[in-house]
Formats: sequence, structure tokens, C-alpha cells
Amino acid sequence: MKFTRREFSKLGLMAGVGFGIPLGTVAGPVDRLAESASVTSPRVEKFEVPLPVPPVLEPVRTEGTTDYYEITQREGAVEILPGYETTVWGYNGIFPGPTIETRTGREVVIEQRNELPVPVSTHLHGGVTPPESDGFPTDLILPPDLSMDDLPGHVSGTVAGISRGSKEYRYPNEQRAATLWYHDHRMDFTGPQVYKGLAGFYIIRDDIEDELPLPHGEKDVPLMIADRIFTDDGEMYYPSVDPSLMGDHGVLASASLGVHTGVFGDTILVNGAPWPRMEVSNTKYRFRILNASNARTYELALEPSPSEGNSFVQVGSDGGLLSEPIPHDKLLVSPAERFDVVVDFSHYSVGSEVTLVNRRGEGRVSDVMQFEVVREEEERSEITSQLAPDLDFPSPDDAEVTRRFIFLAGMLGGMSTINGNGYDPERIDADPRLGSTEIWEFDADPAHPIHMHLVHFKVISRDGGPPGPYDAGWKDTVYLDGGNVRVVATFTPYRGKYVFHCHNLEHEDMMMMANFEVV
Amino acid sequence: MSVVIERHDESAWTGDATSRYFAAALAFTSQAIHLWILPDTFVVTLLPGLFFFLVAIGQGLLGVSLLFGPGRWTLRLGISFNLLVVALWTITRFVSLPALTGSAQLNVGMLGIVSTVAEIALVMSLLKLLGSEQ
Ligand SMILES: [Cu+2]
Repeated sequence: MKFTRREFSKLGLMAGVGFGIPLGTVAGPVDRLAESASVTSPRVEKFEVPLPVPPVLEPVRTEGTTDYYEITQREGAVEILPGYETTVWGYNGIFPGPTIETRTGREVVIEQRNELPVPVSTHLHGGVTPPESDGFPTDLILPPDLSMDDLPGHVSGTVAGISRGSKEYRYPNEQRAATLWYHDHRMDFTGPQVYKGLAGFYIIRDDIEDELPLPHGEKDVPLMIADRIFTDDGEMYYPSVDPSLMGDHGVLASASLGVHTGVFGDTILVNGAPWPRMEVSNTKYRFRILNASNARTYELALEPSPSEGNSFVQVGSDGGLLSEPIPHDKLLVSPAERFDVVVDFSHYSVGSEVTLVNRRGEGRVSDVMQFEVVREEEERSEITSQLAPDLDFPSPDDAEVTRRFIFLAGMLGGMSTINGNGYDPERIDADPRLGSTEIWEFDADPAHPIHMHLVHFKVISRDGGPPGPYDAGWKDTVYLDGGNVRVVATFTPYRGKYVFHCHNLEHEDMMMMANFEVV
Repeated sequence: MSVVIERHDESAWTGDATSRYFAAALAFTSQAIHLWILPDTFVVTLLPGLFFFLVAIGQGLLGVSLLFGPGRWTLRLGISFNLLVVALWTITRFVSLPALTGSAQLNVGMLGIVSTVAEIALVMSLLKLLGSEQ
């Protein structure tokens, strides 16, 4: 084959201009994605670190039936991986944040101060909260010296406006005893800000619960399960497009490969410790399990399983105690869901090691934590066949309206939407009447944990059939692994604008959120 | 033998050099704009990123071949390719496909307009070249 000089230059130019320049341009981005996908945490020995329990916060003062608290959101340096120092963004600089414990009917007022370099908005998940205190995504608390002009995009649709430096949140707690949690809800940046540590427990108790002989005190343990990735120097790694969280929002497309999109860690933390271990006696323990992971859903089980009975007896859900206990051998827990369960270690001999495993995980993330039965002790607690009095769910027959929402995840980094729309803080997507009952039907493709603010709901059907094994009780978050569920809720007791959204936080930040206004 | 004949065809055809260079400049303009938006798009949304990458390659190859006097099939391919690019841009300005494009907003931006105008002008130039060749 013979080339003329002209053909030679043509081929050269084609190679250079046609392929060389585009390939050169795409090389940087490809590198960035590959690098982000290849971050692996320093190796940690499993089941070595003792399980920490977050401290309970004391009110700064009490007046009548109101307890006043102060929390400062700030950077903190903590040891999460043994031998490494990790910077967290925490409530009072710790991760998980301090636990708020209160009782039904006692009002809690929290002054949240923001000493972080970014705006925040604090939401009480599961709280029946007036709209001004619900932590609407654009009701930002700016750092004291940050100007509105420094904010990316423009802020609109606020409910209670923007605060500077601090904001007072009021929680009436006119609701049942339940395991709630508070976490950041800043528009477009909830994923990275929760990931960095902005999450804590908020536990409401009441007389009904107190009268039950369930495990209590040291044997009533909150477990916040969350996965993270750490870089070689022990810092948390989150694949933000703009790691300053003051520019473009969203995650790198490397978090959107495969069917399950979002940020997944390779290290499982429980109450902020990697694969911890807890010493127990051969008695019953109550665990308030919260999945505070951004995107990971767990299928929890015990290994080995107990010599008799079931691994878990569920006594409560998102919205508090069930009326009757439900035995489970595994628990499917999607982001933001809470499962209140009793584990009876009397079915293990002293000296046993019992691992809480994640059947949905492969490799390192297939383990969560370990219990070691270290001593015998007299059993003082019991699971009664009736827990809370029969729950008073709204009837689907009373529903005035049925609404349908389709949750569709973005492909390869595309935007996640509800009914084809990305989140707009000004648009009202549903306007239930105050006090009215409605049926909401959710469709999901592929998998979404769907959360409604303000209300608790009852799952009335799943994929056209009866509710699933994890749908019992009052819920505020329901997991859809594809398919659809129908829920019934009564929109009370406040008028105003609230959000509902996917609690896969990357989906949420990539616009899978909408507003309803109780009118 | 057909290869030789086709090669003879291509090199024998010279066309109007000015029109060809003008068309090449339009192709390079579209290429440059797609390269400009490529990195930021690619790291966030792979589908549009890959699309911009392919457009940049296509326009680069078309531009170079225009400099050297393209054959009939190159012109036809260039026309279809640019019509497709223009059509996709237009459709995604009217129809929101956020799960694919990564944007629920139907933004008509300056770069998009310049690029689309260049592509439409390019299609017309290519049609003219194709006409003058026959
Ligand atoms: Cu989702």
C-alpha cells in the first residue's frame, strides 16, 4: 500500500484532530472518575472497637414543660478508625451527634448554631413539627460571616426564611414514643453533609412504653448504622462534584454506575465505630436500629442464629411501638428507616460470639457488628403479647384523594425525579386539606426509600398484595425495591409546606424531592 | 479495484476550496464547543458526556476531510450526523428527560445556540457541496 504525501497529512490530521484532541480532553474527567471509584479505606480489624453509645444531651434550662437545648454544628476531630484522626461535621462536633431524650407532651426547643463553613438546615426525621421548625431545605442557617451572595444558585421557596448564625427549632412532641433522628437537610447538599456526620438520635418516651417490661436502661441501645469510605489519611471520602460544597451540587458519575446508585462505603460504622463489638449478658436487649447510610440498604441477620426462637422480635417501627410484637429472622432496613427490636441472648451460651451480618453486602460490608455473650444475668424483662394499645390507623375508605408519584432514578448520573420533575422549592406538588385522609401511591424504579415529612402513614398494599413483612406499624419511610406501595395518611395537625422525598440522599440531592402543602 | 476507483473519485474531485474551508471551520467550531463543555459534563452525567465526546470526534473527522476534499458519502454522512446533533439539541430543549440528560431545566444557552447555528450552516454548506459535485 502506498500513501501520497497528501493522504499522509490527511490521516495524521484525522488522527490528531478527530481522535487525539477529544481523547485528550476526556482523559482528565475519566481519570477523576476512575480515581474516585478506586478509593479504599485503610484496613481495620473487625469487632475490636467497643460499641460507643452517643451521649445524652442535657437541657441548658427548663421552664414548665419546655426543655431548652443548645447545639453547635462544628468541625471536630475524632478517632473513628483506630490510629487515624478524622474530621467530622458534627452536632457539638461529634458523630453521631448527642442524643436528645424527651417525653410525649414535653416541648423541646433547640438553638442550632452553625459554625460550619456551609449553610445548614436541621430536620427532625419522624417529628410532627410545625413547618417553621421542620428544616425546610431552603430555610438555611448561614454561617455568621457568610453572605447570601456566596451561596451557589439562588435560594427560593423558604418557609421560615433564612437565618444567620443560629436558629431556634421548636418541637412540640405531641406524638407517641418513638425513635426519631435529626439530621441535615440543606437543599442539594444533604448527602455530603449527613455523610460528614450531621446526624443524631432523638428519642421520645411515654407512659405506655414505661409500663411495658421491655429491656430498658443499659439494655435499651440505639444503633446508628452507616457506611463510609476513608482516604489513606483517615478522612471521610465523598465524591462531590465540588468538595467545598459551595459550588455545583451533585456527585461524580462514578457513584451512578450500576443499578444501585448513590454513595456506598466500604466500612460499616455503628454509632460512629467501625464494625464494633458489644459485650452482653445472656438476657434480652432492645436495639433501636436506624439506617443512617446515604444509600445502602441492609438485610440484617444474626450469625449464628439463636438455638430457639427468632433472631429479632420487632416491637416498634418508625412511628413507635407496634400493638403486637413481630418475629423476624432477618430485617430489611433501608436508609432512614428505624426498626425497634429485641434480641434474646439467652438462646446463646456464655462465651458465644454473635455477629450482626448484612446479607445484602459482599466482602467487608457483609458484617455490621458483633455481640459477645460474656456473663449470665437474671432476666428482668419480657416481651408482652400486647405492646401499645391497638393502633388507630386512618381507614383507606375515608380517603378523599388518591395521588400517584413515580420515583425514577437517573441513569449514569442523570437527575432523579418524581413524576418526571426535579425538585423546585416553590412548586407545590400536592395540596392535602388539613385533617383529610389521602391515599398516596408510590412507584419506584429501581429502588427508593420514600419519606414523608409531618405525617406518619400506614402501608395498605405492596405490589397489589398485602403489605410486606417490614411494613408494620406507623411508618414515615417506606422502602420500595421496585414495584409500588400504597399508603394512607391523615394530614394533620399543621398547615403549611413540607417536603417528601427519596431518602437515598444522592437521589434526594439529585432532585428526587417534592413539596406538599397542607391547606 | 473498486477501492482504487473510489480513491480516484475523491482525489479527482476538488470542489470550491473556499466553500470547503468554510464548512470545515463550522465543523471545527461545533467540535470546539463540544470539547469545551465535555469535561464538566462528563464527570457528572456520563450519557451526555459520552455524546459530546462522540460529537467532538465526528466533527473533527468531518472538518479534516473537508480540508482535503471529501467524497460524496462523507458529505452525506456529515449531513445526517449534524442533523442528528441539531435534532437532539432541539428535542432536549422542549422535552425534559432528566433521568438521561441530568437536567430538568430546558435551558437554551449561548453555547448551545452558537453550536446549533454552526451545525445548521454546516448542513447547508454540505448540501451545497454535494450539489456542486453532481
Ligand atoms: Cu431514590
